[in-house]
Amino acid sequence: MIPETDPKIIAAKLCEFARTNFVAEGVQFDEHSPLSEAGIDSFALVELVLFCERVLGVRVPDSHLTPANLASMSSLAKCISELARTGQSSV
Amino acid sequence: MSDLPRQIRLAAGDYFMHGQDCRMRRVGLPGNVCCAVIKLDQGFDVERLRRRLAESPIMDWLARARIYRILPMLFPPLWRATEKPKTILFEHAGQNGVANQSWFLPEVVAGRELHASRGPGLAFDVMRHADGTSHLFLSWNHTCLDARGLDFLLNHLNADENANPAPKAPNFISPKQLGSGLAGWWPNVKLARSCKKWLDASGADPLFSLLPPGPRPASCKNNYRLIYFNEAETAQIDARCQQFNCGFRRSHFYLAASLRALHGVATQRGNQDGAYLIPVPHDTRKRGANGPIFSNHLSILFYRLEPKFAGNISGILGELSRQMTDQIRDKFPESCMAALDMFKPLPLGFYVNHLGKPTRGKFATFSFSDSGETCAGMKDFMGGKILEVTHLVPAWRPPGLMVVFLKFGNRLSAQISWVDDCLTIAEVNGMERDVRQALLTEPAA
Repeated sequence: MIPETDPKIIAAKLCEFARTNFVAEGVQFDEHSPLSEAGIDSFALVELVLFCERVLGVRVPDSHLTPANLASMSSLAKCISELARTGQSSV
Repeated sequence: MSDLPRQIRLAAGDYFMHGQDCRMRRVGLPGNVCCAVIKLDQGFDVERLRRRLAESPIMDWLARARIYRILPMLFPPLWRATEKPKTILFEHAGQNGVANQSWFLPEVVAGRELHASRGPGLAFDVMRHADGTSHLFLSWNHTCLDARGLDFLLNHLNADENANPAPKAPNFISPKQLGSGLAGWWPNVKLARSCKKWLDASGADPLFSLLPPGPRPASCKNNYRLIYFNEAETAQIDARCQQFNCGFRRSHFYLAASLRALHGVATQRGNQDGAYLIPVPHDTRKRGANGPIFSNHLSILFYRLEPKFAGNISGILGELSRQMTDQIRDKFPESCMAALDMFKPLPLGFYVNHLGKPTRGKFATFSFSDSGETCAGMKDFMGGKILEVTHLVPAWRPPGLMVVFLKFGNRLSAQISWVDDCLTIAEVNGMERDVRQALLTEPAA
């Protein structure tokens, strides 16, 4: 699998996954929404990380799950894009 | 008028909770009945609450709901609303004098019988105090509601009457529970198999249990220890979650502290190789939703930790993170719920025995839950400022110990509940000390 490297595409995919799986209909949620306020918990976070592995082809190590990278989908997308470009964590 | 149906299916979590209720009554405990204790300042209007309870179609349904079964072994049980609602609001004046910081659960509340199969499954007790403050005790059988559902229910009752029209069924009941066909409850047997296999393998190796050896006692008592953290301490704990790199995994930090505290007890008792098995429920509702209120919407993760990992917080956190990822990757929570759904047609006694089989009746080492933010977004209830909220969640037996964390406002609290023959007061004192130390001061490795 060739990992996706465009942060905008990655952010859009992450948001779509979140809306389908754990954010309720009618809740304002986009790539800049703070994840801490969107009710993302440990379970949702792991689902998100596994989605990155399965669909985006990038493994996000625990060391990269920092408050800065998990501020929003946009910042997480940048982190994933960086991992994909450097080839550090390809699945 | 509401569009609530007369009968709905039990969720897999409901029958599981009903099973725990049955287990607890077998040893003389009052059942799987929780109590939210809400301390309210002056201004609390009990008449407004009475009016809301009478007007709300949700409350009307809840007061009439009970478990109904046509034919055990063939059909899964159903929730059915009976014709006659029962009284659910009770007012008591001048019982306690003043609402002091230290209080005891009043006899009338502690002794209230709430059966899911007889109904009603919940009751409101209001204690008015001489200083104008009140305590609202909302007792509920866990078979009917989970903690998040209770939160939604309180928000529903507290909402402005004009801005809160008759609720629609989806806010109250999950659409998955509507209808009565058999196709809905028979899940994928293959999916359920992996959970059973895991539990069989897990139960085959030694497990640490707090249950004393010997026959089941006839009469047990539940005890509660409440650990409050003030705002500064809560902020400190939040900061320490970041230090341990679990900002989004606070539950893991709380669980690690609880497990390490229990490991201290186990070590004192001479446990050498018994692993710790901890089922942790997870709310399956979507974030930001305002329902469903009714039923238990949960999936379960099972953590199994060897004693060699249980001595330090970082070691436990690493194991929890690894096991959680592996289980979600293997769809273990779905498998677990499929298994629970599949066994719903079993009569309650068989069901309870069947669930205990893989672990030879031990069921788990202890139960843990992080209820998260309670009374989220609510500053007052029926005109009275909310001063404090505590959930009293009884320990099931087995396993005999339950640890629950919750946050109200900017304050964290933890509740340790235990059955009297499973832990001593000295052991609980030690656990409290250790939980505080782990959460507040112990340095990250």
